[in-house]
Amino acid sequence: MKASEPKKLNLEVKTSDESAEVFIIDGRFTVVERGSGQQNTFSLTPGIYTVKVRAGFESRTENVVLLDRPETVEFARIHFPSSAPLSDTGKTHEYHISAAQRECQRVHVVAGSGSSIFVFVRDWTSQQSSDDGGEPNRTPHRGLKLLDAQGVPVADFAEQSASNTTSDPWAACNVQVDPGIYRLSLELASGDSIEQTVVASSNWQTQVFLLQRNYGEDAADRRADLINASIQLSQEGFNPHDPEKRLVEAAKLGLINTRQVLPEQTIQAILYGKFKNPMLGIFGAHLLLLGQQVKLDLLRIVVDNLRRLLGENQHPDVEALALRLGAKETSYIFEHPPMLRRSWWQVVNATVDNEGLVPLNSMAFQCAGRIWGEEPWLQWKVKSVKEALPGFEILADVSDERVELSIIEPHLSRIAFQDADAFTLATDEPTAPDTSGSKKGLALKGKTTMRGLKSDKKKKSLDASVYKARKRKPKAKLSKSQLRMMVQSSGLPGANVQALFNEYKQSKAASAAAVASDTEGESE
Amino acid sequence: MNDKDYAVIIGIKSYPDFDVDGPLEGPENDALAFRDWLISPTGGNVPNDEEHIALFLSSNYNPPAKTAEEAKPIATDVQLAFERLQNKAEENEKNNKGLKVGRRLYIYMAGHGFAPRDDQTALLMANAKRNRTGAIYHILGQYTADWFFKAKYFEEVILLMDCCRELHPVMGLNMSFSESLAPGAVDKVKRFYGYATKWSRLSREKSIDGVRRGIFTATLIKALEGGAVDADTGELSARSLSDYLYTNMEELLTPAEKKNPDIPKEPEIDYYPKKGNGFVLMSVPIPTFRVTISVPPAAVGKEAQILDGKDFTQVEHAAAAPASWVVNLKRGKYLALIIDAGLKKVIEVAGTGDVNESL
Repeated sequence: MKASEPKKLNLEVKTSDESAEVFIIDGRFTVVERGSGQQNTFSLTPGIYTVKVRAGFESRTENVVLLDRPETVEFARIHFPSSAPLSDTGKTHEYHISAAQRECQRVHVVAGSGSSIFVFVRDWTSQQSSDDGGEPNRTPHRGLKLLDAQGVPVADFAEQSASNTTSDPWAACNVQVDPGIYRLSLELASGDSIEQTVVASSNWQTQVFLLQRNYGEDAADRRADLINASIQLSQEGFNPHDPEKRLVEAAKLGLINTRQVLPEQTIQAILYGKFKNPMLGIFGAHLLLLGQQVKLDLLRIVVDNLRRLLGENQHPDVEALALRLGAKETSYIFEHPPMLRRSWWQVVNATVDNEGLVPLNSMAFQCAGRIWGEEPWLQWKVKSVKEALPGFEILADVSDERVELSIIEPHLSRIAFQDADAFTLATDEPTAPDTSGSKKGLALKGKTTMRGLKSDKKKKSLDASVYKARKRKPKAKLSKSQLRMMVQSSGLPGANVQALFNEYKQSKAASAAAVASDTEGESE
Repeated sequence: MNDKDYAVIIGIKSYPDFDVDGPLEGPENDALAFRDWLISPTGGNVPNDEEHIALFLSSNYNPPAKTAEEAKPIATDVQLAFERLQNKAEENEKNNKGLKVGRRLYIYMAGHGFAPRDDQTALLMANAKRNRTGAIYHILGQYTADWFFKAKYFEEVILLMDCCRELHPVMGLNMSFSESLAPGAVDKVKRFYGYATKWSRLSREKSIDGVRRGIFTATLIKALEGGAVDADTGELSARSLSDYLYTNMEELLTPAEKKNPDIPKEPEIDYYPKKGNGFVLMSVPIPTFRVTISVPPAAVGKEAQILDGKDFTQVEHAAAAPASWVVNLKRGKYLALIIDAGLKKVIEVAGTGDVNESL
């Protein structure tokens, strides 16, 4: 050590949260150290530091004067809010905890065997809200249904739940089902519905915990909050003190914040299968993928562990993770979307090389353009009036120099192919080696092609004569690079993009035929 | 005067067919606050003219549009401002000044937004509707900033977006510029990208000092006005700005707002290069803040001192502390001591304004 270097002192930070993030902020408000987990020791020069500890969306800070001796600072467990009535989280009543414990052991609806889906939905009002006259939703389960994979109702929670409407109300319903894919559906006051996948795995109970959310300004708009749902898997009922359930919640919030919040020992536990709640493995795997350098060998261990717990080719989220290991790592076909939005992206990206992963007109295909809400769950909106998909209104503006096509999907939004032929033309030219798999790689590829065009004085991409020449040899399918570009820019699976493109081609052919017919008529 | 700096500033408050309950109130206030900092001699010091600053505000278009079809600005209006910069680079090249525009490009956007994917955030134009969000209804912030970053038309690119980033997939993003990657751009051009919220989350505005403001921009302006200046060097660096925004955004929230998971507490910041403090955005005289310390009667008249929280050097001393001790301190943490009275207290000068403390 150099004589000029100031002596360093240890600052020990103890938290009661396995998932806590720790930040050390120095006397100039610069973040100088970071850590995670229950125990961290930092070696620091003397000074005044702020220790910031975060769990979920909540944080606590404490100033520490590190003058001439080591210091220790301890933080109590942070009660971050959770939709699951877990101990040591916010928005929880004892009577919610005991109701969840009791009702998850009962069967309220029998619709199969081998698995069950337990939905516990409640409202929670703060003291402040109560003082202000705020009323909880006395029917927290209104509009909530469980559908099977085909959309056939399995349980109507408003009709078939056990419930208590006093104080902060709750409703609970345990539906015994065959293992498989189900849809949790919430009908809004407008008549539209929001849906999401819920997977029932063999010999597991899928537990869905929901608080309430205001979807509009009327009292009738207060309904189950699907966005902040807590979804757990259990074989032992509901234990509110289970540290894994709390970790699942912390991992979920970490994923929303795009932060790897799980401490090293938890990652190791996940890797070696020392967890009882497979949702921890699924969230843990996605957190692993947040890293700058994805450790595929570690991901493989997690996927193997999850398959051991939930079965091979059984759970769409596990198989979506397997896709990251390679296209041949799973034979699962995604007829239905997975539960997590990040799982869905893995699937969508993989459809560039395998369009069949999301089959044409499958449920996953249909909901791809209707995605709604925020991370972490994949949810989609269903209009009150059933509309078949694909059912696109096509607006085309085809001129000699430029093609602009807009396709209006009547119930969602405008989706548009712009200069689709220019893209085609550009990629017809010799290009750099394919750097697929990376968005930056794609950008470079496009750059190489476009710069080639840019340097060409004839400006071939937008040149009318070339466009006309291009029109004489229309392509039936998008090239892989076009498909990748459009999949990545739209978030839609390959089959959806190809279907839209086919609509576009048909529309163009029809309008060309009409023009030709008019021209013939004029010449006559 | 930083006459080699340029800015495109957009603040859209009026979306006739988007907000049925009336316009947003914050985006124009935010855009104007950013413009005011930009032209301030102690701020960005950019010439206040149309050549250097393209300012798009809803209120610039009169009379106010009643329908989306009439509403302005639209994507082509904003794109023309960026194209003017591209044209300027091409003119400079013709005049043997190199294919470049200047030193720094500021892009500021406030209004309704969404994130079609995790690396792109779009600002909706005034003619957007709930079901009209595609290519001709938005401007992509990072795509545009990245384009200028890669083209090396500037040495530094600053992108600031105060809008929502909820996921909303659309086909055909507005990526209308021809790709360009100048040699060495990745190694030489610096960038700072700041977003009001994490990807897929919503951003919020609220009344701050009686004016409707975006929480992100209000914090940003305080940072730029000196709050984030390194108290030792007088430099406002990418790192100090980033740290300030991460640690101070939630200071503008009430306790109830802090507990609301739907209200963002942190921005998302990315800057490059990351080494050390990143790059220096500006150097200014180190600002000081008035700190008033109330001394309890029993300690009045006793020797008092204030130590710097960085290394415990003494920065202020009073042989006999008055009942109200007023000092001027740089941004930082300090230890106030009256040893004979057994008093000590950490004082934080956050850089957000004057400080009042009691010992």
